[in-house]
Amino acid sequence: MSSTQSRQSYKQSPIYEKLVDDHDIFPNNIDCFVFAASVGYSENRYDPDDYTGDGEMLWMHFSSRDLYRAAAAAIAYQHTGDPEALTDPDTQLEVMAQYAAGGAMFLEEKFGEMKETSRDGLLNYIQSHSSPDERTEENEMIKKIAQSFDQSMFSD
Amino acid sequence: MVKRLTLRNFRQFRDAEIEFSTDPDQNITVIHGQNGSGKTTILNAFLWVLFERLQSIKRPNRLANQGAMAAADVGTRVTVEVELEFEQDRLHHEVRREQTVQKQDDTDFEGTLVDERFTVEYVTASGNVEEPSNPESYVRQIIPGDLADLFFFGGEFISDLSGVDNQDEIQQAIRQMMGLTIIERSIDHLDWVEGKFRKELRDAGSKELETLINERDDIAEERDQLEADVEDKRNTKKRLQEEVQDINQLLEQLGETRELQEKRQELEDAREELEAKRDELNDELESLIAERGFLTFVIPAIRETAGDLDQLRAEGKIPSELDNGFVDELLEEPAECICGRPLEPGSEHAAAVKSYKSDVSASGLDQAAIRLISHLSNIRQSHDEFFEEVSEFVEKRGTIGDEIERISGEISDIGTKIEELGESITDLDTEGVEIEELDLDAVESASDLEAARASKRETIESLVEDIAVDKAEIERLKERLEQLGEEIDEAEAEQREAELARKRMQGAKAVREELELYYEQFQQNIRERANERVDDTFSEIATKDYQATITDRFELGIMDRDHGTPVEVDKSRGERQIASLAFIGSLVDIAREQYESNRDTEYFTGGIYPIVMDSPFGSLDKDHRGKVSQVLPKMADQVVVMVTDSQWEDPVAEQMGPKVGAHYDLEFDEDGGVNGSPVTDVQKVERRAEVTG
Repeated sequence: MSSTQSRQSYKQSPIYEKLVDDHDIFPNNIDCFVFAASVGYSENRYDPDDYTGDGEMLWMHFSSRDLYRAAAAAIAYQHTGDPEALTDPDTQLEVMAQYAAGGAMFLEEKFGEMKETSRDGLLNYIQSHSSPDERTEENEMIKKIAQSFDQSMFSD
Repeated sequence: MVKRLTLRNFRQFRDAEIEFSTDPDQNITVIHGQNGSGKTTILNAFLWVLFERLQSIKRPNRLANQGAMAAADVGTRVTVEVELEFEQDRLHHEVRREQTVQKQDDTDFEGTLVDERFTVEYVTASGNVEEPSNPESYVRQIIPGDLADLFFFGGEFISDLSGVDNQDEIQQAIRQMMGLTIIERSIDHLDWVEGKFRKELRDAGSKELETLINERDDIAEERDQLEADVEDKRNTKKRLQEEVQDINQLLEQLGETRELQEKRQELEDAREELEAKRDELNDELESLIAERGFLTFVIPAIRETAGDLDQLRAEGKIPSELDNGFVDELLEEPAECICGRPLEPGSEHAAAVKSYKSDVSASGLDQAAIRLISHLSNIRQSHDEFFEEVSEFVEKRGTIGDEIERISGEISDIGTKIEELGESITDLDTEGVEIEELDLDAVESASDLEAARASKRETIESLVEDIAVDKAEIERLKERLEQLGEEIDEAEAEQREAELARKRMQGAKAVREELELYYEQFQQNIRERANERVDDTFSEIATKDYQATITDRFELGIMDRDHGTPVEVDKSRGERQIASLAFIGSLVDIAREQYESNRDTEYFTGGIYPIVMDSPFGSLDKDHRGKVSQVLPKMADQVVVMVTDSQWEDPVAEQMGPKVGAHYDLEFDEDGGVNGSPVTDVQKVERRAEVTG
């Protein structure tokens, strides 16, 4: 199967309906899925047993979104520890679905009962995860890695 | 009708043959032999050849003739064989059972079984010899195994049958005889089927479809009502908004109030505009969350992954050669290096990047690594921008919120001023204006209009809230309706299954009840038929004071004829034995009748069976032996009796002698066989001199 045809069944928890249909925060389930998987990874909420369900995630949804591809590759690699995961869409989708199931459960616990202020609640939650100082430090580290690569690639 | 029994190496018989009398006038074959001479072995030969069964025999494993075993060399084989020839359905049958054993050592008299065969052959009307495909089953169809005990028996069986504790044999015999066990099994099976469907009905009918439908109807009604309410509230809101507008226009007709009203209108327009801007900012914030909100949570993973890749590169595990396509990508406008540095066309850096186009094609892993690294700058930038934009939008939204609050305060103040001003109304143009709950002709001052306006505005706000609540409730009801729809579909399917199970259960019950009724009637009918024959035979020869009867509980009892009360066992042993033989005779009779009648109407096809009896007189006194002797020739079309000389004394010989068609002597020699083994020869005696007592 070519990578563009890779697909993964995923569990569509009730939080999807709340955040996508009820509160219009996410325009579609794909964005909600990536957000849930990222939250799941960050909160170490991972469900390897009950992560498949009604939803289906296609790799083609990711293929044109560089940020999504970077996130999926990094999460899959960090989870498996196998560099091959960086090139394997099936592994990336599967790992993402497992973290998405855990992340959706976390979001349900945190925001499931919230009615009117989901947007601001999510914003506060995101902001609480990254202080300006932390961002500066993170940026510096990333910058160094990029420069290190840059120098080795373009120097004789 | 049995014709011939041949025994080879069967117990103490090396080679013996008995031809049974088939003469209807002399239907008895008598086999004479002393105790231990082999009478019981002959009875067992019948059971063995037909059913591979033995009863009341010592050392049943020693089937092979001891003389044959003694003569055989170690390692050689001895074949035991019994053959029975009989006629059934006017066809000549030969049933043969063989068992071959191998002698293991000099002291081995049992041998080890190495081969066994069972064959049935019958000669068809056209003279062809055929073999049934399943000979065991074929034989059991001719004579059911359980019935064999009734027709091939020893004297002790007769005593058992007449014993008060063995009445089950009577009922069992009748049930077997007429195939009633088939009906019983059918009844049991139908009972099981009924239970199975009852369980299905209970399982399937567990959900109350009616309750679900009622709930759905109630909720649908509630939803319809709420939708109608929402529509009403919208109409009311629209009307109130129009009335507020009318009041605004009326206020603008007044001198001093006019200016305040115009100012208020401006402020309300401005507030509306700000609220729209605030909504836009909220939409922007939502887009930011959707598109880049996740980055905060994955940046550490991306950074760590990039760090690992850099390490792999440093270790030489990822080659530095670049894919040409990737280099082209970097040089595309706006050209930017991996580290984010701009690559101005014609610049030194751009030329350096361009020079790294090579002929080497990188692997998938290299490409994935380079792709991730190349986006680091973009990821970092997107992440920073996310927070910058969020801060900017949140700040703007805060400012707008403050402004909305300030304007709302001003609007409120204007309302208060208008009301406090209380400008008198003298000449108000109200043509075409109608405001509910407000008599315009009675309005005296601007305060009245303002109070009405404030009240309507308050109602409008309240309606907006109510409509939002109602809409949320309608959504909830719709979800529940959808869920109920699925539950109802499921329950309807289960209901259909339950209906089917109910019909099946009722069907099984009806058939079972019919069958039970039929079984009861049929059983009683057979009992009455047997009873009639038993008593006929019994009353002919037994003590006239007694009556033999099979009770409705299937007990073979001896009753006092005058009082109808049971007679004590000790006082009626002889009579009981006569009754037992009469009973067996009645079964043979019924089986023959069954065989000769319409076979399709019953479960048992019947047959013409012989009776083979070993020492039928037991310990009866002379008087009763005489009476039993009267019964025996009448019991069946063919009777085989094995007796000792002492049992063949008068009055037995006197009574039965004229009916005997063949006599055989069993001549037993305790050590006349090979190596001093016991052996019995069978000799046909043309006419045996009767021994008199």
